[in-house]
Amino acid sequence: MDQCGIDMSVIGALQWLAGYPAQANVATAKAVEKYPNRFMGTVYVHPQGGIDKALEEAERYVRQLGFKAIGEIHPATEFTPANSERYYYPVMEKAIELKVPVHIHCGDPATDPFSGPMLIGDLAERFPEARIILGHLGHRRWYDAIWTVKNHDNLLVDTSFAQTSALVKAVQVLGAERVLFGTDTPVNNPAAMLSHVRGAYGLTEEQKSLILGKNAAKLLGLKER
Amino acid sequence: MIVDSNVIVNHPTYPEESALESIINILDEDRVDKAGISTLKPMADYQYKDGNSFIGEVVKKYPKRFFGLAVINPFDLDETDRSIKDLGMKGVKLYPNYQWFYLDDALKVGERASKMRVPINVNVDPPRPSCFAQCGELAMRFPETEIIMGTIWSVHLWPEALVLAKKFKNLYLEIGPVASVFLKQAVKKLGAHRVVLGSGAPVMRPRAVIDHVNMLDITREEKDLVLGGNAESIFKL
Repeated sequence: MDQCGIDMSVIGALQWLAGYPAQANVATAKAVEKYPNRFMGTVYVHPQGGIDKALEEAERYVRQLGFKAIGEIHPATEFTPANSERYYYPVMEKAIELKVPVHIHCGDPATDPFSGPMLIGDLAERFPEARIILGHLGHRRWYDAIWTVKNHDNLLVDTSFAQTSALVKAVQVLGAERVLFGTDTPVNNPAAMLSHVRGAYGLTEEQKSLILGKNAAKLLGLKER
Repeated sequence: MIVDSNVIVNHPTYPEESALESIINILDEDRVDKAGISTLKPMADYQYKDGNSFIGEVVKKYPKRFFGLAVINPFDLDETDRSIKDLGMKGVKLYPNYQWFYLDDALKVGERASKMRVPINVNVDPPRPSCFAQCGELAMRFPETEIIMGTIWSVHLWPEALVLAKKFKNLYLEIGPVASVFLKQAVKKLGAHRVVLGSGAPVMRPRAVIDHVNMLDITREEKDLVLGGNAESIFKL
């Protein structure tokens, strides 16, 4: 982040992928506590492990520790469709109550039946008050993702893994206001991701500025620096 | 009447199995009365007109066994009109996953097809970036035109197809070797009138799909719709 000039990042921990969701949030909280001016926490929830427990966890991290979002929800690793009434509806209700956005991974069609754009669109339709970030601009399903976001006002996308042409198309169709800068660091090099946005064909400086910070600041209630 | 709405003659990957005589044998053996036929080889060679003309000849020769489906290049829209008006095709097919076109081009074909009141089969597997969006937008823009999600067989894609089809009454799911649980879900959630047999023969034997449908815990009437009744209505046979 220092090398790239990134002021702040939303951070989550990946222990949940290894089956330790509670430890993941603890690790995130430590990072946020140590670097409050650099990191904002996102709370991972695992409703399959107990819905009440997951909702309590979300509430505690948001209300007591100031976490800014719920996610990244990863339907594929949980073998649960993104529009699951049983597991994800309660999470959406909690997010609305807490007034925080929900970040959902949007996956690769070759391996992932659970987090396609249409499923996330269905969830967005059922919870119009929720703010949902469709992750990775849909990976290889980027055009389907853009179409879905276009049809649901409460959806946004993040740019991690997006091809340049997909990013440009997203801005053309959705407007830069619906596109958030995301890197998936350290999987991707943030410097490359930054260059990717800054070098995107035809985007104005104002559009880039929205993508690279202003949109997130507005969504997460941050003050401009 | 059993109608297979999607068989392929002269498939570039399976030339022997997809020769016209082989297709007719398959249909005879599997007791398929009528089939929607198209060809892929000319698409692979970028010779769409030749392919559609060939299908026109096949249908003329075997009018009781086949009805024609035109594979359209969205950059040659007039071929849509020629195929339907001059060659008597009953529908058009698009392969955005192989032809590499996007939504705007699909909509141009949609305009032509809807004017001529023929259905559009959009092949969605593998789902390149805009396949689902094309199905949804075509269904939304042309509510009087039947849009078929072609080759929607994959376990991975089926849950999304159900979500999309629930939104648009003119969106149909073509079933080949799909998982039993999803096939049953489609009939229960959308209704049997929204599911159409399309084996993709010779890639899949029609009988494998027909037997699968017949083994399902759904009514005889529902099975008959899936196995032929729906295709008769959609393609106005």
